Amino acid sequence: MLFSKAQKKEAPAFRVNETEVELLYNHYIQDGDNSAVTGGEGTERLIVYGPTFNYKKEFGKNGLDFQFGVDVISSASTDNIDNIMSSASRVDTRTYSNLHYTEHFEKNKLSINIGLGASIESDYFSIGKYIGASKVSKNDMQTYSAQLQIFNDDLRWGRLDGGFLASPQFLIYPVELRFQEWYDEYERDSYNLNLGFTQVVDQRNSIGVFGILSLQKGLLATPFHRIFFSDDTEAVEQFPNKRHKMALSLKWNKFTGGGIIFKNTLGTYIDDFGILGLTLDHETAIKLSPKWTLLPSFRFYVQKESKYFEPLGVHSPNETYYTSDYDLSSFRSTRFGLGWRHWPAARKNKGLHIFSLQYFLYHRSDGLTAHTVSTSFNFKTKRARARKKKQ
Amino acid sequence: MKRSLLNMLSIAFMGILLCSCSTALKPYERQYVNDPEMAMSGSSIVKFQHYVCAIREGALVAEGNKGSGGCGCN
Repeated sequence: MLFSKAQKKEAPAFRVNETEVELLYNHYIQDGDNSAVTGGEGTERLIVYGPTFNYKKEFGKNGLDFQFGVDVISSASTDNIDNIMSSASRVDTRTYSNLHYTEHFEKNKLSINIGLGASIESDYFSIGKYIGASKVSKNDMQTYSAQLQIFNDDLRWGRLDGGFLASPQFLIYPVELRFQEWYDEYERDSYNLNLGFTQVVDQRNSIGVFGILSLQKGLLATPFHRIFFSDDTEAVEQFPNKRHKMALSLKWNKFTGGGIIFKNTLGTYIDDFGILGLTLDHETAIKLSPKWTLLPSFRFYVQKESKYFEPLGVHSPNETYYTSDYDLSSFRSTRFGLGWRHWPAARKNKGLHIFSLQYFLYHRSDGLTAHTVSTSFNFKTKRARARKKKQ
Repeated sequence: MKRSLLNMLSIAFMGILLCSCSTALKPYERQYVNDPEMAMSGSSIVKFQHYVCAIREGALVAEGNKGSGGCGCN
């Protein structure tokens, strides 16, 4: 009798409310000699100071994710829009923000998320809309995810230069080419469908397949990218007003003995501008102790150029589409990374949760070199709350 | 490289078919696969690297969701 009463007594049920705040700073420096602003030859020197604030809150069945960041860009090549001779670097600012809301349906192990975002620069304004879903299988061995992203961009200049949020005025062309309008549109729309599948293979291995299908429409060229033709005449970059892209990645994560984790990615990319890309990416996480992790990484990428690309002075003025942007040329690139991650409060429910510091060296076979230093402070608060009883 | 994309697609589908037959793990057997370092999605630092690569290279990164718009024209 006593036993059966004890059995009927329900154990108190708790929900964990979790708040996560991340302060991230990315410092990016780049240099090269193939700027598209000066037609494929000229400095690509660029410094980006990029602080970001991320806020994530899980409350019961719902989740909120907010991001706000600023990239302060000091760019010598952008300065050359107005003046072909190099001078002191021009400073531009890109401000961006995103808000995502997630609803979890515990019974079906399903999550639905929606989001809105915006970013603004002196010559660019973008609105992003997101909707997606993810599902975990009954036995927690597989996950499936899908997300649709829509970006509506406006490439007109003047929102930040004529006073904050002033009306956009016009597309900005190189100073010597402002005698005519080169394009009949100023908007760019992007539709991305992201698909993902992950599978736990065994106690130490999991794999993932990720794909993206993308359609871009509108003004796809950058108005201040110069072209110098073979007959010494000059124009701005021209592209078709539609671009289809497809990328596929296979990932394999393995937890080996001795606390070493290998994360491998093989990626391919193809689009109708003629670009083909192949990526090999490897990250290792070496757990030196429960609180310290070392993070070496290596990435190799090879690209076949766009059918619209030629170096300075090679394009014929009779062509319809042309670019001398070396980001769309044939090259190989390598990236080495090293960093560490510290978990000072692994077992506490409040305070600094993770601190990370990472450095990356990027080198492209055409001579472009970039350095990135990133630091992240991640704070977490966990609180257990008793669930409300249903009346 | 077009062929390598097709090969990858077939490997991916074969892998999915094979792996979907694997037996479920008990909660106490998930110590390694649930480790935060085993997460498929990268940290914010790794996502920034995806963003840089998407600008400096002509390709998209499949698992690197674009977080916000921007010309990346510098």
